[in-house]
Amino acid sequence: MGEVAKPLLRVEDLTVRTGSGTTLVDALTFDLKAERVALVGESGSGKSLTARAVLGLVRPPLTVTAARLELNAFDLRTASAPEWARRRGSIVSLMLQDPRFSLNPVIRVGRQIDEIMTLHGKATAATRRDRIRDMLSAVGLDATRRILDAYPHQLSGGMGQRVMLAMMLINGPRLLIADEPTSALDAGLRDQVLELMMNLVEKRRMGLLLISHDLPRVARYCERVLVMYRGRIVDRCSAASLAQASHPYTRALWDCRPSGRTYGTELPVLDRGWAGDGATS
Amino acid sequence: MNTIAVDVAVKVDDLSVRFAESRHPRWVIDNLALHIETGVVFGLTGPSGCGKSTLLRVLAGVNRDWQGTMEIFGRAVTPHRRFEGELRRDVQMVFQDPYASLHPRHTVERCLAEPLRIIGVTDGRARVAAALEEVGLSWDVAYRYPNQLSGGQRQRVAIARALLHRPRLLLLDEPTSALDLSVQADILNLLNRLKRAHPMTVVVVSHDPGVIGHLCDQAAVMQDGKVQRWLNRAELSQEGSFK
Repeated sequence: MGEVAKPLLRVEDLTVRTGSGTTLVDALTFDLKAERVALVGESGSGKSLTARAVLGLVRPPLTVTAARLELNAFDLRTASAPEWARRRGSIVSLMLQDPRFSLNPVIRVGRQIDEIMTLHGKATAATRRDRIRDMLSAVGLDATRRILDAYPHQLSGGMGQRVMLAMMLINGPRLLIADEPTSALDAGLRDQVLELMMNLVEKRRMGLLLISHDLPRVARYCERVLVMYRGRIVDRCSAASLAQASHPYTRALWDCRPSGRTYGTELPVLDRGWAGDGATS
Repeated sequence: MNTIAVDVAVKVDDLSVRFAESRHPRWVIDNLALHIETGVVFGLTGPSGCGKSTLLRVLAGVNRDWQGTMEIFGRAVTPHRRFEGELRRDVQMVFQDPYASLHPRHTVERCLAEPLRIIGVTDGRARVAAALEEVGLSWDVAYRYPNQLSGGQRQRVAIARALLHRPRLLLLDEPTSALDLSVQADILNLLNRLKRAHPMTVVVVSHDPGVIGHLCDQAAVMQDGKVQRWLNRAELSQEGSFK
């Protein structure tokens, strides 16, 4: 465990541009150790694109440049396609918003979890079966035929997201990137899934980059927060101090959440033009 | 029975809805009674699958396969029949995903002018301009297609369309859950503003206790097709008193 203190992910001046030269992510610099970091901001602020750039998933006509982009001390900037493929799903995993869209709809869940192990190792079928059972029980599911033989559409949202989490963690990655992992779930399930994720990440001493626009939840589950606006990091703070954030943009994001106590009042809104405000994807 | 029927916007009794297509038919709404007074913002909340959206679709006349009795503004509605007469204008709905509820190949102008043309309004253009202004959009967006709008703008267009006929009952199905928190705040403010400007009864479905607590005067928490709990304003104000 000599690696714990060293950053898992080092990003320096990460920039993503469109073919016509518009800057979408602008000179981002941050490090991530075995800790829980949240990347927050509105739709279109570039947070998902940042995650994709870190995973080498940005395709032309978009271009990625960086002064430094290292995962586990490996330089990602010059990585070849096979080198990327070896790392994605084994050293770094990506969990997306809606399990119904990120799982293959025509392959049974058990086989999909199995596949990610066969792609990244030589474990025997018996070992893989044991690992699936252990992993599923870690995310609170039983490795029964009902789950393993189910197609993704037969799972509820919460179960689907647990299956995704199991899949993403089964190869023991050092870093999990979760892009709005709970926005397709209802309020009660959100906390369940996040709590589970935080427990597993902590137990396995992994790094977590959680992309979210839900600041109160981020404050509860993460340690550090990076606030993005229009492609830049505009504020960095500890999650615990979010409620007292001084930056006006962070403040506005924090205050705009409705509740029973805001009944009859105007919610504070961000002062921004409608033109640059992208759609929720 | 109360005799002041005028003050009741929605009066539903013994309502049951069953989804029969699966092998195990299941009561999605099970003997439910719901009375909503005129002018109230009423919330329906509960976990996924509790029947809250189905109930809203029955009130909207979208789901017509139900049993029981239903009156909207004192007019009886019959199962398996479309809404008739004024009810068709009086009841309007806004859906969760504005992208799915706006025709992708129609401009905003066309999408808003169509419901007016159908009822024979001739000054359509002026009404569309007024409707856009009312939801905080400029005439610039009138000739755009839905994919050229942001999520918040799209939901504003959907709200503008619902308000064109000056409905007396506005139904909102998760009106902000496809939106960012910051855009959600804009839309919630807009809804409150519109409610103040036009007296309407509003029924809003949301899984988010924050949205329900912010908007509603009264609410019902549903579970397995039944109302599990009724909430008044004081209970809605207590953070964490329901989920």
